[in-house]
Amino acid sequence: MRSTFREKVFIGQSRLLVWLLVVVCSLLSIVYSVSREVSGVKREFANQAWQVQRAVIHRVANLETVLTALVGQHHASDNLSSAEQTLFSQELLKAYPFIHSIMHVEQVSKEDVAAFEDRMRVEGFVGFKLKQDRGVKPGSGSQYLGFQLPVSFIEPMEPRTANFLGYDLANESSFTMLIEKAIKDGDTIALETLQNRYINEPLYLILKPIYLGRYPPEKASERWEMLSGFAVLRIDVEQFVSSLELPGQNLGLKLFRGVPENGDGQSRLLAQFGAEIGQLGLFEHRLNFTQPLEIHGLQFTLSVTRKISLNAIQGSRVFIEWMITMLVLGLIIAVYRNRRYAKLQEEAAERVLAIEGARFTNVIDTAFDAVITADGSGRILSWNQQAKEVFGYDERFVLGLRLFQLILSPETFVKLESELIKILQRQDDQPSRLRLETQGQRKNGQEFPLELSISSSTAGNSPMLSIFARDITERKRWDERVRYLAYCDSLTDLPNRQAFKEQVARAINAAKRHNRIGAVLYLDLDEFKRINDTLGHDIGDMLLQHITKRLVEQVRVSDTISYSHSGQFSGKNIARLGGDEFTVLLDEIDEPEDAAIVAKRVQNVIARSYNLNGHDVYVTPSIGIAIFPRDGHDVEELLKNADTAMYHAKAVGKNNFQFYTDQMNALAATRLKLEGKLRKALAGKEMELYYQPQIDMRSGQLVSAEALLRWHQPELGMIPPDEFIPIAEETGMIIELGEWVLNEACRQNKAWQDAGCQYIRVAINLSGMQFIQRDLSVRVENSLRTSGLDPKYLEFEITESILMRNVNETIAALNEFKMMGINISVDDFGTGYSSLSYLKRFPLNSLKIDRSFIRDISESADDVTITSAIIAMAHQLNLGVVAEGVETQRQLDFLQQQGCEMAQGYFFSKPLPAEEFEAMLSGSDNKVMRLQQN
Amino acid sequence: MSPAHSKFGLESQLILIILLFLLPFGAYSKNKCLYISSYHQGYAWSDGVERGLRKSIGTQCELKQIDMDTKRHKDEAYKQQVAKEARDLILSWKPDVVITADDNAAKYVIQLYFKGHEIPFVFCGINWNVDAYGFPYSNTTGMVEVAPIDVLFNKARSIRVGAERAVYLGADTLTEEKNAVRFEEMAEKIGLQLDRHLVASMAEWLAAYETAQEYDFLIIGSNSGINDWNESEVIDRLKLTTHILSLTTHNWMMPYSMLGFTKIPEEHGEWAAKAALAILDGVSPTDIPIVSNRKWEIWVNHSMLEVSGLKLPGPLVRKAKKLH
Repeated sequence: MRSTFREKVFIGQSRLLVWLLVVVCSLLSIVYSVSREVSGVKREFANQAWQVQRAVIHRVANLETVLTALVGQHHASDNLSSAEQTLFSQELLKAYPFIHSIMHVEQVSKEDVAAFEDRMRVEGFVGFKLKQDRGVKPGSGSQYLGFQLPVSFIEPMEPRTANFLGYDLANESSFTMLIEKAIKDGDTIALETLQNRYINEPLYLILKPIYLGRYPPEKASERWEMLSGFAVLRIDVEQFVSSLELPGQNLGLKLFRGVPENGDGQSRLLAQFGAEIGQLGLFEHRLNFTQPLEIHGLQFTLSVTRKISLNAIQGSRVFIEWMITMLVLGLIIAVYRNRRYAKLQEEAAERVLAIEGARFTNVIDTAFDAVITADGSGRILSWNQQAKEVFGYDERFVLGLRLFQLILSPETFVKLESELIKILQRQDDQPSRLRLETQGQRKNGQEFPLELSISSSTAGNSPMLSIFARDITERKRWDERVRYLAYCDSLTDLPNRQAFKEQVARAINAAKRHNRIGAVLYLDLDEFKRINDTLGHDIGDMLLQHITKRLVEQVRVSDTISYSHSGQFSGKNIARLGGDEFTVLLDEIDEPEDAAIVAKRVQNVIARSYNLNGHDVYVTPSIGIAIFPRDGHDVEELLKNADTAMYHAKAVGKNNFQFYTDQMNALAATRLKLEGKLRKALAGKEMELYYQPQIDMRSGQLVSAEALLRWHQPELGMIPPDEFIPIAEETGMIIELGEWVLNEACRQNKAWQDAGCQYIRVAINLSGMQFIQRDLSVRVENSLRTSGLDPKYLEFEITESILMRNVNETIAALNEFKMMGINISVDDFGTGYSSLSYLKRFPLNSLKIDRSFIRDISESADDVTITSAIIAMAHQLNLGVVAEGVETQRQLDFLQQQGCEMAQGYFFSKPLPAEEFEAMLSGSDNKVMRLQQN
Repeated sequence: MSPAHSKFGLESQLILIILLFLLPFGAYSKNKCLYISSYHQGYAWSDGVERGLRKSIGTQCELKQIDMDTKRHKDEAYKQQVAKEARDLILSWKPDVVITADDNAAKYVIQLYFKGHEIPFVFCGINWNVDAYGFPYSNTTGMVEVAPIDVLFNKARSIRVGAERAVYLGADTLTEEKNAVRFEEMAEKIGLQLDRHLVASMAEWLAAYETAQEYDFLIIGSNSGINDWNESEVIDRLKLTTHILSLTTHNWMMPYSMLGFTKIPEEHGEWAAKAALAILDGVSPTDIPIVSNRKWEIWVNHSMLEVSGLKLPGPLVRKAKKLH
C-alpha cells in the first residue's frame, strides 16, 4: 500500500526524533554504565585491598604463632639439644617461607660471656666470640640491661647466616627500651637492626622472650629475673610481600617502612609485588589504598594500587545495558508510533474499505455466476448483473422479494422447501453450505438446469445467505454428449459394447425376476475383412452404416434400442460391439423360435447387395443365438455363448444362424485343436493334392484335372476339406495353403509332362482371400516360372460369390490371368447370386455346374431345367460347361444330350493321389479307358 | 610470508638449535672444585660426606675427587706421598676452591702446603677442634665434627642409673684418640670414670669388649683402622659376651651397639658444599665462621638388646630407629 503524504511527513519526522532519542539515550546509557562499572571496580578494589590487608594481618599473626611455638619448645624441653632445635626450626621455616631465619638469643650476664664463648667453641664453633658493632658505644645497651643477648643458634645455618652467630642484640642501645618492655610484659617486639659491620642490610626481627622453667612467670619482676633469652624471627620482607596471594592480577602491592604521606623522608620502600603501575594514560586512573600497619611496635605502610582504564570496563555489560536501553526506547517509540499510526491507519482503512467495496461490487457484477445475498428469511438483499442475465429480473424489482420462490418453479420449490428451510432457520453461528442441482425458472417461465450454492453466515448479528446460481444448461448438454460417447458407437449411433452389456445385464435380471426368457443375437458379417481390404475402410464403414440402417428398420421396435444424436433412446435393442459384430437383444420372447424368426429376418435383410459409392457389395451374416437365462446367467457368459454359436454358424457354411448348444463348446474346442494342428500341417508335409479327372464328353479324352487338397493328420487321420478349409479361411492360413497348392499343382503337372504323360490342364480352386491378394498375379507368375509349366495348362476355379464380390476388381484380376494364358472357370455355378450382365464381362472360359443340380437330375425337373438353362446360357455366352458330380450313366447321357462339353465325377474317377493319377494319365486306368471306348 | 621474514625465521631457528645444543654444556659451571677425602670410597662416613657434598653442589661446580685412603694406609710415608700428589694436582689444575674431608686431608694437605694460600679451602669432618692445624687460616673455613656426647652420657646414666665407670673402645687412630679425649673430658665434667681401650686388631677389640663387660656401660668408638675386622665373627662373639649397655655415636658401629646417637655425615658434605659455593660467589672464607655439626640420629639395636637382657625406656625405644 502506498503511503500518503501525511504518512510520509510523519515517518520523516519520526525518524529524526528517533535518531535524536537513540543518540541521547545511548550517551546517557553509556555514561551511566561506565560510571557504574567504575563504581563496581572501585568496590571490587576496596574488597581486594581489604583482603590483602587481612592477609598481611594474618601473616603477622603467623609470626606470633611461630614465636609462640618456639618459646613453647624451649619451655617444654628440659634439655633441648641443637639437633631438636634444628629440626623443629626447619619444619617451621618450610611452613612459613616468609621467615628468613629462626634464631635463639641467650641471655648471658657479663660475667658469663667468656664461659659462653668457651662453650660455643667447645661445641665446635671455632673462634667464637660475641659480635658487637664498633659504631655503637660498647656496652651501652647491655649496661642498661645488665646482660648480653648473643645469637647462639640460627637456622638455616648456612655460610652467610652463620656469621650472625654471636651477634649481640643487647649491644644496640636503641633496642634496650623495647627489650626491657618485652621482658617485663612478656610481649613480642619487633626490631629493625641498622646496617653495620656484621649486617649488610636492615634486618627486621621479631622477638619473644623465653623464660627459665617450664612456665613463664606472671609478674614483671619475675620475668626480668627469669629471662633465659629470646626466640627471634628474621623476616624476609620481599618474601613476606611476594608470597601473598593477591585477589587480582591487576593489583600492585607495596610495603613501606614508615608512613610515606608524612613527607619526613624516613619512609622507604621495602618490597613491592604484583602489577607494576607506571605512567597513566589518558583514560586511566589509579586506585590506591594505603593502610598503616604496625607490627609489634614497628610502623609500616601497606599500599595497594590498581589501575583502571576504559579497557578494563566490561564492554559486553555496557553493550547489554545499551541494548536494554535501546529496547526500552524502542518499545516506547513503538507504543507512541502505534497510537499515532492507528489514526492514520483508520483513515487508510476507510479508504481501503471504500476501494474494496467498489472492487467487491465490481467482482460481483462481473462474475459469471449469479451472486445473490439474502437475509435470514430468504429475502433478497443484493442481485448482481449475472443474476439478471440468468433469471431475467432487474435488481430494482427483486430486492426484498423471497428469493427461492422467485427463481425456482413452484414444483421445484415444494420439493426443496424442507432443505432450504433448514439452512434458513439455522440458529448457530457456524456457517453451513448447501449445494444442489435443480430446475430454475426464468422470468419468462422457462425452466432450465440450475446449480445453486447456498452458504449461510452472519453479517454483524444478522443471519445472511450467499447464493451463487449458475445456469448449467450447457454443461448438462456436454454431460449428455460425454455419456453418448461413452455408451454409443459413433459410426453407427448404436449403443456400444458397454451400453449393450448393461442393457443385457438388466434384461437378464428382469428375465430371472419375471421368469421369462430373452435372446441375444450375435451377428458377424462373413468375410467383412475382404471388403475392408479390397474396397478400403471407408466403404467398410459405409457398409456398416447401411447394415445398421437396415437392421433398425427391420427389427421389431420393441426388440431394439438405438441412440440418436438428440440423446434420447428409441427403445431399440441393437448394438455394435466393434468391427463387423452386431448384437440384437430380444429381452422378452415367448419361445426360442421367436429369436429364430428375428434371426432369419436379419439374415435376409443383410444378405442383399449394397451400392456403396458405385461399388456393388454383397455380404452375408452368420448369427449365433443364445437364450437367457438358459445359456448364460450373466452378460459375459451369455455373450460368449452367443459368440460360440455365431462361430458355429460360420463353421457350418456361413450365412445362417445357429442356436447355442452345450456341444458347441466341445466343437469349438475341437476346432481350436484342429487350428493348432493345421498351422503345423505344411511344415509336417501332411498336405497332399489329389487329382480328379475332367473328361471331354465329346472325345472321351481326359483333358484336365481338378486338384483337390487332402490333409493326412498323423493323429486324427484324414481330415475332410470342409472341416479344415473354413478354419484356414478364418485364420488366414488359406493364403499359405493356396500358394502351396498352386506351386504343387504346377510342379506336378510339369513333372507329368516331363515324364511323357499326356498334356492336361490342372484346375485349382482360388479362395476368396487368395483372390484379394494384391500380388496374386506375381505369385502365379513365379510359380509358373519356377515349375516351367505353360500357363495354358493351368486353370483357376472361382466361386460365384467370389466373382460377384467386387466385380470391377475381379474383372481386372481375371484379365491379368487371361493375359497370361490361364483358363478361368466359375465353380459351383448356380448356387450363388450371379449377375448375368457381369458374367458377360468376365473373361471366363467355362462354368462348372454345381453338383447339387447334377445329383438330382433324375428326380428333379427343376434341376433338369436349371442345368439345361445353365448349359444353354453358357453356350450363349461362348463359355464351356463342366458338370460336376457325375456319378451315373444316366447323368452322363443327359449331359451329353444337352451339349455339356465336359464332366467330372466319381463316374469317371474319384480324386486320386498323384501317383495313381499318373497311371491313369498314362492310359492304364480302366475307367477312363471305358469312357473313351464309349 | 615475505622472503625477509622467511630469512629471519630461518636464522632464528638456527640460533635456537645452536643454543639448545649448547644447553647441556652450559649447565656445567666453569668453576672448578676439588674434593679431597682423607679416606676411601666404601668407608661409610666418607661415603656419607661425599653424598651430601655432591647433592648440594650439584652442577654448579666441576668437581674432581681425590681419595687419600689413609684409613687403610697408615704409614706416614704413604700419607705424605698422597698429600704431595694432591698438592701437585691443586697447583696444576688450579681449582677455584678445595674441599677436604676429615683430619688427614687438613693435616697433610692444607696445613702442610696451603696455609694462607690464594686458593680457598673448606674443610669438614675434623674432629672436635682445629687447634692442631692452626685453623682458621685466611683461606680456610669449615665444619668441625662433634658428637652428641652430652646426650649420650645423659641417656646412659638415665638407663644405667648410678653408673660410675664406663669404658671407651675404639681403633687405635688419631681420630679415635681425639674422640676418646672428648668423651673423657665430658666424663670428668659429670663425675664419671671413663677408661679407654684403643686397639689395632679385631682380637684385641674383642678382648677389650669382654673386659668392658665389667663396667657400667660401654662407649663404642669407630673401628675404622682395624684392618682385620670381620663383622659376622664379631657379632657372633658379642652375642655370647654382651651383658652391659653399649652406646655409639657412629652409625656404622650400630651392629655392635645397643643404643646409638649417631652423627650424620651428609651434614658435613652439605655444609662444605654451601661454603664452597658462597666462596665462589665472592664471600671471603674469613667471613664464614667455622661451625660444628648439629644433627644426630637415635638408633636401637634390638638383637644386641635381647642378648644382653637389658630394658630401655619405652619412649626411647618407640622414638629410635630400629636395627634388628
